[in-house]
Amino acid sequence: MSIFTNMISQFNSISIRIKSAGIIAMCVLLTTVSCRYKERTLTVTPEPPYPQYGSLTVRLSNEAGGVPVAPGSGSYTNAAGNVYTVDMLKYYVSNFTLIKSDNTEHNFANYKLINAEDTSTCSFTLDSVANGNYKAIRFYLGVDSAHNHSLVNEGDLNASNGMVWTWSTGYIFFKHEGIFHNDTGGTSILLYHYGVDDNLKTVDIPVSEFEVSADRKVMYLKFDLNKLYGNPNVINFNGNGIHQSLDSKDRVWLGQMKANFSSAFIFDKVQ
Amino acid sequence: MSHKKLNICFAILTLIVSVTVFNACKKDIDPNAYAGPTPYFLVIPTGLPKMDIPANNSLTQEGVALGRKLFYDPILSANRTMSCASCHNQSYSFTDSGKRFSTGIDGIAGTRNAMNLVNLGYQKKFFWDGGAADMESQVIGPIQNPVEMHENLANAIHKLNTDLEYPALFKKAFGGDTITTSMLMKAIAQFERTMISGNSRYDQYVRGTATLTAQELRGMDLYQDPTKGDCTHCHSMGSTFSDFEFRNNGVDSIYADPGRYKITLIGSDSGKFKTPSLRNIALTAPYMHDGRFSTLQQCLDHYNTGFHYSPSLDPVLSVSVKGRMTAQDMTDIIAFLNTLTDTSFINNQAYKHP
Repeated sequence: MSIFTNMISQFNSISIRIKSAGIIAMCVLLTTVSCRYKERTLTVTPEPPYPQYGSLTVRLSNEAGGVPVAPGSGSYTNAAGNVYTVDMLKYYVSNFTLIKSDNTEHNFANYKLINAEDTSTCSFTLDSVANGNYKAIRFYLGVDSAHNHSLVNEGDLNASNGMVWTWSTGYIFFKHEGIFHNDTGGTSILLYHYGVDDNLKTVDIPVSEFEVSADRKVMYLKFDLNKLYGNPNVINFNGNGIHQSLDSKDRVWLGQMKANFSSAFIFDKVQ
Repeated sequence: MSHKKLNICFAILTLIVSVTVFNACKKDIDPNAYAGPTPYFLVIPTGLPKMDIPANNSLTQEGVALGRKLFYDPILSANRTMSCASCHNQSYSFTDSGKRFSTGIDGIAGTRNAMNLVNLGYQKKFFWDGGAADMESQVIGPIQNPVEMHENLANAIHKLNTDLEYPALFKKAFGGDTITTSMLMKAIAQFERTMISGNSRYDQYVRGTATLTAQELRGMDLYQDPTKGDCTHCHSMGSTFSDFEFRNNGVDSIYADPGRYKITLIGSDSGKFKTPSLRNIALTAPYMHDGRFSTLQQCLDHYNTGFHYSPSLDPVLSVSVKGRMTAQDMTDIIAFLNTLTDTSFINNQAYKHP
């Protein structure tokens, strides 16, 4: 009370007091009105005549030479003739952009960690896709630099997803771990960890034109390891089976992988 | 009515109106809603600059206390035998008790000397090579590093979530019923930002509450003298005693450890490491990124005559005259460096095992 009294005692002119009272009255009025307005909006939300948007669910199928990859079982043969397994296959796809036939682009600032072992992670839905005809998609294999330099993130970018470097702040964009039959008749460890800003890969894929018209479409994409290890650069695992840093020995491999990611993603169909 | 009475009436009216306005939308407020943690007011000693604290991790009493508990808790290591404090001992200004290299839970030693944890809130990048881009992100490096705490991060979070105490403590600090990795990073970073040293004899001298000896004052002059110690180019005078930049100080010309290059892949970053703060330097032996020097005298000898020339050698050092300091000069500089020891920091109850 004394605070108010002291404060108010500074108002010596009646006119100021009248003005103050007016302001307070306005506050009361506004508060009352704002609460009423909130109630009203709850009841009279107008329905648009026809929805302007649909959705697109993207489903990724992880394969090796057209054969679905089953982490923990099965073996596959790459272009170099190496027989290999997949114990773990995880990668980030992000920042999906849908490109309309008139070349306008619609970007979805999304981050998705695909884990081949868990098919529930291999699809995601882009909501609010504007009606229209689409001819291509573009996305990143990896995480953009704006999000690659701090790990205080949740969801698919949660640092506990096993996709961060320990020696440097940032995400591992792609991880394939397994074993392969080496050229001396034994088996060797395959440990491919790919990442850092310079290796962020923009993937452009033309798709057969499809229309979104306030409906739910599903796009099927394939990610093929044999394409990744064979086109255009043939990657031989022998003496080349471990890459998980940025040393000079990793440079050639990083460049080959970056180029090959373009062919590793393949459009299948839209339904 | 007199003016006084009018004033009182007006005050009462204002109070009623205030309460009305405040309560107008009260029905929207959940009485059980999380009220939020208590702000923590960081006291910055005179002579140190204002600390920039990220907007998404303001210091709170609950957050700092939680970070302190986590810093000392071996729960974060795979076999529950090591905590941050295992290699960052307060008595040694949070370095590893005089050890050159620290040994992780698997008995494997690392290749770099444990850094002192002093005034970290002024630093921009962490680790000797700046590999960690911010303090929050730094936190998870040692937890996961195979030669340190060697824990799977998801497992560490699971252990915290199934612990008897932590879920409630995290909820108090950050809200939410599930502990997330971000919360772990934020809590430890909050505690680390409170670890401030600014009460050494040097600081007291600057504030006019202590005197330095003639030798220490001579050492202070030599420290800044471009023809003698020339230390201030990197170990900025006063405040943090570091520019926190990455520099090649000539300990090698062929690099067993490429330092900053490992992070940036820029050729000229070869052999560069972060300039460490010289606060509490007398407590943090051995010295350099690989702990190769066990005494400050060896460090001074290095900068006087021992540094190696290479393309990425720091430009200032590359034009420094070898042999510019006398033995007495170096002894005096060491006397000055000893005034940077802050015993109130290493004895501060707020940083001890809770």
